[in-house]
Amino acid sequence: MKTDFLKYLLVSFLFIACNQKKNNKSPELQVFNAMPASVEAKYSAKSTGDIQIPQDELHQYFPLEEAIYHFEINSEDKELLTKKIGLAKNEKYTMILFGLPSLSSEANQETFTHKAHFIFEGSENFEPNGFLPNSFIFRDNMKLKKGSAAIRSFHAATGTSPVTIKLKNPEKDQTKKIVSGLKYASPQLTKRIESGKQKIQIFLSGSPEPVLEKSVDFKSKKVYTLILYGKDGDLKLKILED
Amino acid sequence: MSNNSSSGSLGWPSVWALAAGGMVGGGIYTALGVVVSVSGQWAWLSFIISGIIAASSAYCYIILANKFEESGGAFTYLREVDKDGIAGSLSWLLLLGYVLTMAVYAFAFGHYLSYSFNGSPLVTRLCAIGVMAALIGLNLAGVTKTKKVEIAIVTLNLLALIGLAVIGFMHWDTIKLVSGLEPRPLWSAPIGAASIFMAYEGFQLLTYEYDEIKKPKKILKPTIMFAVLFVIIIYAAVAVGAVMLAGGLSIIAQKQVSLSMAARNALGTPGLIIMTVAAVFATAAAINSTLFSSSNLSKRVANDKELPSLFKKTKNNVPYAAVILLGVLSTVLAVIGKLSSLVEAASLIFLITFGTVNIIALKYIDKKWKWISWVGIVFAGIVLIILIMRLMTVAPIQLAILVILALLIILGRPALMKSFSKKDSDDEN
Repeated sequence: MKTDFLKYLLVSFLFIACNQKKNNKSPELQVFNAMPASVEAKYSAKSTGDIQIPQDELHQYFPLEEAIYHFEINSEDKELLTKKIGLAKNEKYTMILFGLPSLSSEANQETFTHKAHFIFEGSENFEPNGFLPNSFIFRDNMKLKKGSAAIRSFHAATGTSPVTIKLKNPEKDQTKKIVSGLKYASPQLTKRIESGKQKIQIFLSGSPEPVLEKSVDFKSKKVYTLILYGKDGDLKLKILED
Repeated sequence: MSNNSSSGSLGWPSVWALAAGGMVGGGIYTALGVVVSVSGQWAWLSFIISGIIAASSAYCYIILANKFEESGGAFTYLREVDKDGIAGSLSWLLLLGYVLTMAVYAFAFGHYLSYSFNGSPLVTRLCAIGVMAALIGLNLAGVTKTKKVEIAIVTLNLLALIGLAVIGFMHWDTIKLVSGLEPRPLWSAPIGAASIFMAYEGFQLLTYEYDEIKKPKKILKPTIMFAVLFVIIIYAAVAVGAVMLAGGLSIIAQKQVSLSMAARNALGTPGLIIMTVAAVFATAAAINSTLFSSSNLSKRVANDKELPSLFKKTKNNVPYAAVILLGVLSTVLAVIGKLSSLVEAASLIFLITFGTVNIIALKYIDKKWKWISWVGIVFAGIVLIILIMRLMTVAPIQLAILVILALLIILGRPALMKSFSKKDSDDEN
């Protein structure tokens, strides 16, 4: 009896799995350039091409074929980064380019600490790498319930101390902490929030007053990416809505 | 010493289920995200490397268990070879390992349950505290070991994992293994293996129940070895299948609940429900077994005067002080700890323990099979060095705390035990 039930369970699994709709949408990528210089991003694999991204600008989503891509990021004829990144079908990604190109003397230049963390920590290496050029990727596909939105953040502002991000709901007079002590080169991964109008407040560590405030109408089922960028304390905020 | 009679109640199906369930119970649910971030597309190989150490250690555990015919695991084997001092220190270290392991399981329980209904971080912690409180209560009441229930949980757990792996293979897409990630070099596989070794520790809990096993000399070796090999295959298959369903970047981003996310990606809400049920039962059963075995180990160690006499106090044959102390410590760590630090600290302790068992077994193993023990010693040594280097780089404070604790145990334990013995004899007088 029990065995029959378990067999039934396994067969049901497989049946549901076989009947899942198989989407085969091309992967899409958008790139935000948080570096204080224009860059050119060349990519090659099944698709090849290059995109120009001015300083502090977002290059909107563009489709690519599923593959492991070789990216080459250049600025003023100087090669800053070369990266291999897998882009899978049915996925959308946001790539953030950050760091100071002026510090770089060769492609993928790394401090000793950054290299050690790359070896032992792999993809969760969020070392600042001495403000040398680097990149970070968020996955943008997310299933959200009606009435909720998602928020995530990335600190790409060179020379700015860790920040605390809060959301203030003026209607309910409530403040919710999204992340505290977010360091340079580190992400804060997805948090679900209620949709509706809220004020984003950015605090520098230990500061009682926000250094940046911005009101946003968070739409239902949307994902918001907050990118902090700027140089030497000149903090700016870019909000991407997907 | 017990005899090798058939008086025990555990036949081979129970032994197999307890060994496999002990390993799969909590390990894979938390280890997958950690290993994918380190080894990327080579995560499956990391599980195989760790599995080789587990397999050779399992063989050595069986040799020693059958040689000494006694429950008690590494502690007993060290005492049998007249290494009482090391046995005492290792038992303390092992108990710390069990506390860390239970913390990982409680952490996983809280996260998987809370994720299913979108609970807040506070709810997640309350779930972890709740399961620990419930299982401490059950252990204190003496309601712990219902073999049929454990076998049913193991079966459900294995079916859910096999189902997930099979569905993943049906959606074969190797790019998913590095979705949003930089492909990792092959040499990252042993680093991944080092960070998740605790995923295999469960089988050795069975050595504490040697006296309960029916015809152990006959069934222990084939049954446990088959269980370990089976689990290695399951882990490697899940490391490929689940990542193909969810994508590498998602598995890392949601590493606390990576398997639920993969199941939801494959089957939607039914997948999420099935995986949540499997995860909460598996982790709860793993906490229960570990709490039962570790509290009984501490009673045994206290009887041998290597732990304060408080640990041997029993009520209705339950070592209540040990159950409460170990349970509460695990709960605190589950609430305040970080997943990768807990997993790695536990891995470090079990690598040392398994390495030690491999060394002891060298003396008793047949000449033609000594290579098995050597494989375990060499692999455990290499992986241990790698893990220490990883902790020095990514978690130096946690490593320093562990080293200080280990030094306190090795250097301070004899003095501490002397003072406790004196106090006990004063109390008796």
